[in-house]
Amino acid sequence: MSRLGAGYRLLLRAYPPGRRRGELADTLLEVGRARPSVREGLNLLRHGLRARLGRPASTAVVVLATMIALVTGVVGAAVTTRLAWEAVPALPSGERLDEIAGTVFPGVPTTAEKYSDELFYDLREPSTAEVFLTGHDEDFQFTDVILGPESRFLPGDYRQWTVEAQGRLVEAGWDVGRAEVTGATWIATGEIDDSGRLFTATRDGLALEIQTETDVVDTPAGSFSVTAEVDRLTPGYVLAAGVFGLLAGALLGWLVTGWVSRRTEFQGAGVRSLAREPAWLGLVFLLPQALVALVAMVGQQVVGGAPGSPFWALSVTYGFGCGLLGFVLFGVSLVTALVAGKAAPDAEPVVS
Amino acid sequence: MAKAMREPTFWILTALVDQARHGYGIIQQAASLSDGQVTLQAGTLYAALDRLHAEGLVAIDHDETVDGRPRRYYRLTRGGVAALQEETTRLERNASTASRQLAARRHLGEATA
Repeated sequence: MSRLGAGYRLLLRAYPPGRRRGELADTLLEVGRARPSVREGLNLLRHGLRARLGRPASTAVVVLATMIALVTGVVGAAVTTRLAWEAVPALPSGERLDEIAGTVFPGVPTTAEKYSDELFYDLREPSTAEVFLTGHDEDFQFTDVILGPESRFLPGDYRQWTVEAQGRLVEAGWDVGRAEVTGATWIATGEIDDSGRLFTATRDGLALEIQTETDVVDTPAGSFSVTAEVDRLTPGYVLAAGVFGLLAGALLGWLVTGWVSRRTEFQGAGVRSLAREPAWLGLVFLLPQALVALVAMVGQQVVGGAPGSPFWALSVTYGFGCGLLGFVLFGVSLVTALVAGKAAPDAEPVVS
Repeated sequence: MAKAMREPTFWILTALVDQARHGYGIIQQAASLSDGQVTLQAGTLYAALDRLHAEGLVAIDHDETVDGRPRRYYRLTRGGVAALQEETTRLERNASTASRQLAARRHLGEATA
């Protein structure tokens, strides 16, 4: 195999360890190409990864491995994204926050509320053990800072104030979005009862969402309520880390599925069933929320702006119990392969 | 009705009709028999051989070691011969039908020309 080009040797590692790699190396040496073409490389990669699953006549194992790879890919993306967020600059505080407050609310005493110093906050503030057992509460989301006037309300016209605030932010270097009309919707006509404005502005990796409202309880006549929410935008390297995690997790899931499949391929019906059925059942619990998370991951990029909650939020809140059960079922398949499985025997020549 | 055989499968089985062959031997024979129309990729070849072996259409004939490399020879089984025969009949029937239709079209063309 040493005479085979490095490109081919690397591609042959897509195949499971064993005789097949040597057999392929022999064929490729006889073909006599120094290095693989793109088409040949993709062909070897595709069929090598398929060979990892064993059961060459089965389509079901490919479907199973694809779905498991999707689940583990989403888990990988969540893990790497979470880790990458650790490198993102913290939310502004001190002078930096004062500068923002002074731009939005010039000459007005303001308050700044921040519910947690962690990346995420959960109003329930559960311990790590509680999170592991029950997941997060439904309001689990990215920590943000809420700025507002100490008095909660500002006198004057909210439309005029919004225009002026947009102008101040533009002068301060913010990229300011168009203000939307907000308020209750009239059911009969579908029109919005204009009672506030909402707009966003971005600068230096931060997003500001400013909302004025006049229909908040206790709003004095001629005044309006206003809040400015400060969030962090998702840097490109966090997305890159997520994509890397997606691919790495999917590959790992595929390889582990292949390992389980090959170790149980030639075992008795009981062992095969105990490896297969829990994996399919686990997918029932895990695949829907993996798909939701994947759509959210893509959707957050399409929509843009600061994400309110991470794309995997469903899996650690409402979907936590199902997810936990799904991974326990995957664990049953793994343990079955580990304890009752055996490396697939190499096929022997048959004397006719 | 039997499912149509994929092109690489058809040529792999055809290449094994006269004798047992190893991987490169199958690639060469398929290229030769198809007048250079078919170039089997190594990945495709071994994926198909694994499947055909699992389906009982191909058997492992014998193993050799050449320059320290394992070389395995494959041969057709009775099931493989039957499957290839069935596919050949299907292709002949299809070709015959198409030929009849083309002949009819020519006849129609001459009549209305």
